[in-house]
Amino acid sequence: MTLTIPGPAMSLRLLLLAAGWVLLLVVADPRLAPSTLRPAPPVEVVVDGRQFSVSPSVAGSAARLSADRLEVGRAEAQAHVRELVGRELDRVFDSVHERLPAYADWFYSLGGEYARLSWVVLGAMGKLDGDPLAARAAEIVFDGALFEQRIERVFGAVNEGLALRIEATGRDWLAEVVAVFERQDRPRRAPGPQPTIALDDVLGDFVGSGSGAFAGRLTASSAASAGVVVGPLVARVAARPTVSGGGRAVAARTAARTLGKSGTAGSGAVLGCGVTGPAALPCALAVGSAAWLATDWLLLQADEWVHRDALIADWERRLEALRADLEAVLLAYYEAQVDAWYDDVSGRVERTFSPVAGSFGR
Amino acid sequence: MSAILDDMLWMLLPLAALVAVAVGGSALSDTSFVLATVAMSVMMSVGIAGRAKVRRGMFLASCVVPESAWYWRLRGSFLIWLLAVLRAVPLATVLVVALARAEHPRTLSAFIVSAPLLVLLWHFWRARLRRHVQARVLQDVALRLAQAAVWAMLVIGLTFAALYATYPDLGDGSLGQAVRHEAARQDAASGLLLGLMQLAAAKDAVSWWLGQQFIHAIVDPAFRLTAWAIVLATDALVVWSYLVFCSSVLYLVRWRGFHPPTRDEAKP
Repeated sequence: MTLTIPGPAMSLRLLLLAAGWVLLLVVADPRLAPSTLRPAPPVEVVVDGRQFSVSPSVAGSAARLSADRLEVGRAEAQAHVRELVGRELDRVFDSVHERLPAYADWFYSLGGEYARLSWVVLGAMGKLDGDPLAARAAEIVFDGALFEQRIERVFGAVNEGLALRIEATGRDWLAEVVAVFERQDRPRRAPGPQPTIALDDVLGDFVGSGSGAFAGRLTASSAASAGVVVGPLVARVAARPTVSGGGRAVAARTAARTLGKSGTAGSGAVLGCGVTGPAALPCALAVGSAAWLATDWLLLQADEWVHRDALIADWERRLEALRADLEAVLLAYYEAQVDAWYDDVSGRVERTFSPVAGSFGR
Repeated sequence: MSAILDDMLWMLLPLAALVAVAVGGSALSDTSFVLATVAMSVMMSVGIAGRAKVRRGMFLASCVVPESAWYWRLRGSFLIWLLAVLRAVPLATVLVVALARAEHPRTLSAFIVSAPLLVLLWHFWRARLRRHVQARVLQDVALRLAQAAVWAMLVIGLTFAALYATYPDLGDGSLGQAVRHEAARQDAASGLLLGLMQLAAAKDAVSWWLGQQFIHAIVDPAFRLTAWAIVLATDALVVWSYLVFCSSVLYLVRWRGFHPPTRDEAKP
């Protein structure tokens, strides 16, 4: 057997043949190509019950889009919460503000005056439990337990609005992601070992029962929060001393009353009861009491004339402070809820896209 | 050596066409799919009819007197072409659909690797049979032997590979569910191609379902392996289509070699 060295033509043919065969093999089976030249296998994506086959870079851009959309959704949800909380609290406090004149009326009524007087006396005797004036104020201004129910309704309205917003975010995200996949979808070869991204599980967090579950979670925790938060805040606001209320003003009026009454009782006896005999005492008591009440009424009218606007303004400030406190509490609660939810969903989205983690890098 | 290299180089062209169909097959439009199938059918028809004519010529030369009217009647023309087309169209369709479906690159890689083998075996048998077989049918006989050897090797190799491949678990569903599941997994831009791919997928689903339902009941491992091999050897027709295609290319390239001048024609 002799070995012949191929000539230039033969060498060229051999070279062509080898190159052609290698090229065909590499095109036919990309696993044979060097890793740098090897096209990545397509990624199967299942979303909204539809299946797409896209390149890893497209899946990566969808992952980035999802992450961005979730961040935008988070910011939108927070803004929406602020708007909802503000609007709902405005509605609640408008009705509370409307009750301030009623409180002032009670405050400057004889009944209110004597109630406060009795509480001062009972307080001095150590017979009082709690702050009855604050309780009465809370009852009149906040309409008793109705205020707590209204705040619960605020929670309900915000929960519902937030769930709707989150569902809308989910639908926007779905539309954008599906649009990306539809633009880039390539005919699917038979399913092979390529990674699959199933977004339907995450999508379920947004829409349908998913958003309902989120609303349910909010409802469960917010119902408890309403009772815990509102009571102490209201009690604190009602317990603050008023500009013209409290023991000091009552004591001042009592002193004035005493001075006035010592005179009026005597003068009543002199002026009002000219009778003598057994009828003199009842007459003196009746005239004295009338004078007492009249003096009280006059003093109260004077006090109201001087202080009513200040009292209402003081309560306006208290209500503003209460509203600010409640708004802070509600916003902190909802921001925490929204953050927790979006952190959870973002994590799940990121994990779902983990098969294309290399393309996901931001 | 030069002839072998030339034949191998010629084989690159049809192989490139097959690779193109395999890579972009599911993106083909209806028109492209029909054009590709027609082109392949024409190529195969030429090869099948040409080689049939060689065999018919041999039969006529040995059995019929040239002066007989039957020599002319039996020379074969329209009928041979008709039969060739009738064989080529389904074979070409099977090949295009199989390539478009190609779930795993191993089939295409095996085809590419086997093409030079076919050329080598053809030349080998031609050299070995030169002293035993008449020149008129030497090319055809050598090509038949090479084709059969490569077919056997490919079927055995692909079946062996198929035994170790992973398949969808269809054991829990009904046959109808298995067929629908596999058909639904197919996707192609061309509706015509998609329909054919779904038919092929349904055929696969039936094989897999039968295998998963019944073969595990066979106790003897050797019989079980044989049963699986029979179920999975569904690529045999595809391999045969491919080899008919390659043989047709070689026939076209070496047309003159398939129709050597007879002794009478060779005389000056």
